[in-house]
Amino acid sequence: MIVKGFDPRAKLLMIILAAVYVTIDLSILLEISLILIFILPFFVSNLPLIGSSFFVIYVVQLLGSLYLLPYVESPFFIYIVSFIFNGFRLLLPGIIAGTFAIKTTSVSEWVATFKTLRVPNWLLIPIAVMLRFFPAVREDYHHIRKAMAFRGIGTSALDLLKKPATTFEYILIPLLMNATQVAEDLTVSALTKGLSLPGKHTTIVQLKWTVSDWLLIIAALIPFILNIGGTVS
Amino acid sequence: MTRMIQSNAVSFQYLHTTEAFLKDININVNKGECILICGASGSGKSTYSRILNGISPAYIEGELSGEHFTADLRAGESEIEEYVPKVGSVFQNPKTQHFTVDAMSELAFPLENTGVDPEIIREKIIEKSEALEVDHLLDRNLFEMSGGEKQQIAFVAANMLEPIILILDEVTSNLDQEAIERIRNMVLKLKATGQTIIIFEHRLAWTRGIVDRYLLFDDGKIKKEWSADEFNQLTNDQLHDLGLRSMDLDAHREQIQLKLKASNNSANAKLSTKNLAVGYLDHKVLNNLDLSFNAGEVTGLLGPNGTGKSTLANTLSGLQESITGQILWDNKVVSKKELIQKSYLVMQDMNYQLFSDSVENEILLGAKHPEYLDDLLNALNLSEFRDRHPMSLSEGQKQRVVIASALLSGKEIIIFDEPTSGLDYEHMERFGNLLSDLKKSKNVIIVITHDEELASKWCDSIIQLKK
Repeated sequence: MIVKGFDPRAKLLMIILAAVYVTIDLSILLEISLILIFILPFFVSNLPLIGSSFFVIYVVQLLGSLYLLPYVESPFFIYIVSFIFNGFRLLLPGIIAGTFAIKTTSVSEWVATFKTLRVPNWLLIPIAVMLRFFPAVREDYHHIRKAMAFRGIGTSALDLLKKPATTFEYILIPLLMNATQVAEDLTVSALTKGLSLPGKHTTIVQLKWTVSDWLLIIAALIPFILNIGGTVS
Repeated sequence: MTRMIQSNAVSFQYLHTTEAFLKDININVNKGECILICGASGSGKSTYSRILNGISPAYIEGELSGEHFTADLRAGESEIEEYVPKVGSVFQNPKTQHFTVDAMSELAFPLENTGVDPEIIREKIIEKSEALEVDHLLDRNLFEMSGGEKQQIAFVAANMLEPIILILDEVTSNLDQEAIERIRNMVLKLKATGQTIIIFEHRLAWTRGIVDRYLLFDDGKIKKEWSADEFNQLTNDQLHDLGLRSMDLDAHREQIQLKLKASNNSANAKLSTKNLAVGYLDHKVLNNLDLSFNAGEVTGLLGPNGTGKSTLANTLSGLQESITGQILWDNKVVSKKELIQKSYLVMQDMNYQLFSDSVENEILLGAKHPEYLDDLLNALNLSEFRDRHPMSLSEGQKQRVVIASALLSGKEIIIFDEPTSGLDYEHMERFGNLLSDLKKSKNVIIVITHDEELASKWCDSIIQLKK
């Protein structure tokens, strides 16, 4: 199986770059180009809707920060408004890169990536188990909601508002009770298939670092380089 | 003859328990033999299967006495990892034994763990999946497969390392007739290659002609042993007396045919459908359904996987909107919302359906008739458990708690989804008796099932859905 689209390692690198950008103060022009570069992969990977939504969010934040923030005087609201328009805007590249990585990478691709990056078994196994659990929990959740519907508990939004803790408890308890059983079964099955074998584990998922991965990473570095060079200020 | 399995006076007691689960077991199995171990739940079958594949005492711990060898591995001394290339295991629950998301990765998984070169893994996957006829499933997501398909993948995954011993731990519990037939074919093929196969089963009919020897476990001991010829002579009644399920399903199938004919009197139907179509906007699953369900009767809903039994149940219980047609209650049209208030769907997995910290609170949660609590606890044999945590009960007891809460909240349509999968003869009969008690409350009772023994004996009429 060859990984289609961007290499998961490129996606991880984008997340790291996004974290670096939080610490850098970019000009508006560079910031806009940065956002455009980060949403580009969505359009290449045929997910234009998500890409455009992120751009709309960004534009709203930017306009809010430029034209709304200066007029807010209440110290209470300025805190919230500046978080939404400035703080959250700073985190947006990371959220975009993270969303892209999660949306476009399968569980087996992640496991293969960590194996290729030589993540040791003691760390790899818990990660693999965790990734296996997400879809299982989603499935369990649907079953539980179904049972709750018949019992007439937690069925309306009003219930959730009036008794959030109880509703949460009704979902969480069966979820956890079931998870312990599932974890035991999974462990036994995985042990008989050699999950705990020492030595190097191979993978049939082939990671392929291509030109487009290079282009993406280089493009993502451009605002950083220009910022240091000071050509655009 | 090479000995593949050798148990000499094996006893085993789990950690933190007071009683032995296996008592003085002596078994020898030769290479290429296929043996079946049957017996009621709690007879020690699962414990023995864990000794065979090295899970106990290494992972699920306990105290082992006597001497047990699987191939050349000695229980209690060999590491779990040493068993991996020699023993393949398939387990009961199709949902909780695949470790990856897609079929291809699942088959690659054991080979990746042993460090096999990716190129060779790919060849092996093609070879094995063609040999065992699952190649059409390779690019599918396991979470979207039916139980039968998942179980086939689990079967091939257990054989990827070409183990000399294969252990099948109640693998057909959740499967329909067609899927069982596929598993049977796989076992036949592997047996022909000289693999030693140990089957643990409640459902016996599919094993005729495969198994060489039958062993009956009871209370941790071997109670009886038969050659295949001797075992095939036993009548269904003799098997039932031993607490075992039928070997001959033909009689049950005839009975089911008779009950099909009786299901067309809609005159006094409590719940009925008129020209009903169920499914999803993009595809109709079932069309033109004119069904009728009488109060105080048990109606069986049979049909292979994928015929829309669950979709129909979801629609009848108001979880899902019908596409066209009507659902009638006392000959009046009822809405989705009314249906969900009238009905209760008892799912196979009890753990999803229990929310409270005691049996009493569980049953009273959402109750419309709390005054009947004591009567109901008595009727369902739950009185002694009223203060227990529901999760601490056995599966059968949990099922009765769920039924009690359904009855107390005034539900009039009770639908069971595969209530007897994985149950031994005794527990299946007990559930059948419970069904007949439930009839007294004049509810509409619907049972979705693959279990032909349950359907033939305990359902009053049967609806057979076809593809």
